[in-house]
Amino acid sequence: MTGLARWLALPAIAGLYLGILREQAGLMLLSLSVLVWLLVEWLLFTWRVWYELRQLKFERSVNGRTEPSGILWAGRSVAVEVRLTSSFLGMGSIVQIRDVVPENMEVMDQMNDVTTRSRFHSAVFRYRATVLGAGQLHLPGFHIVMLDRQGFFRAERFIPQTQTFRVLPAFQQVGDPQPLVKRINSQPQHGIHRLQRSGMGSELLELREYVAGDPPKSIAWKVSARRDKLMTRQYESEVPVRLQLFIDGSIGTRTGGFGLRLLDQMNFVAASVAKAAISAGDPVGAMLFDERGLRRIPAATGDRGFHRLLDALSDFSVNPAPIPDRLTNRLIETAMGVAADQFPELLEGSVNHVPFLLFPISPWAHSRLRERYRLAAVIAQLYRLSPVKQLQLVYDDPLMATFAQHFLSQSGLSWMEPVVSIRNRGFHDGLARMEILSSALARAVSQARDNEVFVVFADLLECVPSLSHLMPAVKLVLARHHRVAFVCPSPTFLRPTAESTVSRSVAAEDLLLAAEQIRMRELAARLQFELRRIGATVSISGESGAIHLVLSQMSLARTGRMAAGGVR
Amino acid sequence: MNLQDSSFSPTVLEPTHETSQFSGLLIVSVIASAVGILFLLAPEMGWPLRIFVTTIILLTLKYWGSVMVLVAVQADLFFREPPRSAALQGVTGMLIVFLIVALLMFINRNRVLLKQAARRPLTSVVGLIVTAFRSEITFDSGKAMHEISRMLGATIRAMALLVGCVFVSRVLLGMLPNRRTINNDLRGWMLDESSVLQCSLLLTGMIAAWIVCHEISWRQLTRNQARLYLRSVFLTIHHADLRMVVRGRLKLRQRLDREKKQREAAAFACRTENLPEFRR
Repeated sequence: MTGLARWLALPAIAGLYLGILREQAGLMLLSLSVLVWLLVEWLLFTWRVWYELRQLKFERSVNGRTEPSGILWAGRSVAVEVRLTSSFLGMGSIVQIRDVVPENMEVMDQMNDVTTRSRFHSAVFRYRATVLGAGQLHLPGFHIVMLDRQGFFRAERFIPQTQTFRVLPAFQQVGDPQPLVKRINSQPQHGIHRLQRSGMGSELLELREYVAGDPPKSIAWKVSARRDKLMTRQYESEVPVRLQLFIDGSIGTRTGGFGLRLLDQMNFVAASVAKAAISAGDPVGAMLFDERGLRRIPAATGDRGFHRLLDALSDFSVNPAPIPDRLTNRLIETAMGVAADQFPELLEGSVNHVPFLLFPISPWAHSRLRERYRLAAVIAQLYRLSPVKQLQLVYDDPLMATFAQHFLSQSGLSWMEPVVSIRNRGFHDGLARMEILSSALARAVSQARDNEVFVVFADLLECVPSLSHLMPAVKLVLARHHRVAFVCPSPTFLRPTAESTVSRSVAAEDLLLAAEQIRMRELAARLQFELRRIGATVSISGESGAIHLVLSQMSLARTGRMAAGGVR
Repeated sequence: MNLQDSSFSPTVLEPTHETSQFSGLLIVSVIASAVGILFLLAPEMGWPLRIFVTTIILLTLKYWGSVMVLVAVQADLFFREPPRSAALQGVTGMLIVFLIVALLMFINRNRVLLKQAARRPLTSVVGLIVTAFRSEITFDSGKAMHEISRMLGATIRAMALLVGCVFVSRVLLGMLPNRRTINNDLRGWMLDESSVLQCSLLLTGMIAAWIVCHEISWRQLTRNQARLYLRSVFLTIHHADLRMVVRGRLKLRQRLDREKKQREAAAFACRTENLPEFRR
């Protein structure tokens, strides 16, 4: 019963009472008629909810497939079609149907929300959406709101129709899909140095102008004499360059909403360089690390290897259960919102009773406590908790925060703020991250052959003070003649340049952004200085610039030169 | 809306082109009917006051629907209808009540239109009305016929429902004892020998009806709802005891945490105290 019906019933009851007292037949008849009308509408509505909602059947197809699981790509558009069937015998109640989509999916023009009448045989509605970030996408079902014509009664239900998709990270095709022709594509044995066969493969690729540092025997003397300038023969290299990706998935890289996370930027660059490397026939492997530990993906080539890497990145991008220790109002409100969206029938007052509470006296605090009781009941029901545990959820903040965050994660929402407040657990100041990254680099070096390119995707900007803990491992990598490139994505998606630090206006948001960029620029300068000093390269962005930087490192590794300047 | 294997847009329930052209007229008719009935009330009231009250009530239509109109009509009846009057007891009374309730229904059903109109700029609402009055209306005959038949069916159903409601109310009022006869009715009932039997039958009937209603509502619950209901009932009954247990556990945990911290602090102090002294 909505507020409108209650407000209509109130004067009707009062009028009936006064009419009986004063023996006013007209007043009595009018008031009683209104009450009877409300009663009849309630009976009809109850019957509609009972009968018509049962008749509604749904079938959803995503990109033309109705299977309960599948694969989607981040950043790409998805076509969803929902087929409804119902009984033609219904009374034609107003039904609002919403295909509940997770946070990882952005629907265009709210087309997943339709309003119709329940009296039809079959119908279809379609909408398009964009998948935002890699990981998992879970379409839970349909939220249904049934209303009567006058707006007196309202019933909400959720009809589950689950489909789960693995979302692979987006990637950019860089350069030619098949840039090199290789006769032999096997890794050289240990001890066979790449300089022995650098650039001296069997196939001539092109002639180009001489660059200082090119080997003299590659000079094409006849052509040089004809053109009156030194020309160099560029050969296909037959030595594969193994690419090793190190991807950081710690807490800081997973917050910020799907598509905006640092992890999404890193996935994009990693998938793009992996695609480029595999197109050239180079094997690509990965080391994925976060608070849970280290996971190694063996190097592989070909489309199969590429998809295996994407699968691993996708699984890695699924947020693990966080360990929040602080309960915020926003967390409770969001959990209540999701519960109202996906489990409206469990929040109904007729089944979800709240015990009588005298305290707190303040109406605001009282209503918040009642809300928490209702949320605790829903969570306890969903996770099959005992009544004692249910009550503990009400009075124990850390327990409620843990369950609420877990509930949100399972419902397809990204992590919320309390998870980054975890101090004294190592990852906040970067020490633990440096340690695990160092061990990953050392392990990769121990398993590496010659001619490898190590690309580290990590949120190092916030860990610049702890960088000294990482230096020995980087020096070890460089000492073994491997190349190291660091890609540190920026949370603002902007490369911190001198232009980006200038505020576009005096609005608070722009000033804050400029201040943040100034801080980032300082941190980036320190990071670049420290890492370039020992011979590593750094990119402070998760965009195409970073992809080109990694590819240029691979190109250098392939030619055997130490730097673009030609030092070998 | 009947749909046979057809695609529909999200605006399927929004008025079709044929009916949306009349939305301006509908808004005008809602306001006009409300104003008409409000001006019929309290004829002795002065015009300025009448206009003021009417304006206030019209402003509430968007959010409150017909509530304030009902209150106004009831207030008029309360003050103007003489007690024990037979004027509104016959068919005339039923017809008037029917018209008033039909007006309330009409206002409530078109509340969405009022809300939409309130969101639009005034010029576009006026434009809608002008379009309707200038007869600049285009029809697709098939759709128009379909719409007309649908609207006619809905109107007939609503009228039948209201007639039934008023009739039932009239019958109920006829059965109920009024203020004059209640003493005699009660006395007769008390002296009647069969009253005990009637009372028992009434009580049994009420209990049976309550059980049936309860059973129907229980059967309508989903499995999860039923589980949650039982859980809620259990928690409500044992709330005080369980709360005491939970609070006790939390206090114990806090105390243990506090003691652990104190022990660690003491151990640290002990370690620093036992360090050897610096010697030159």
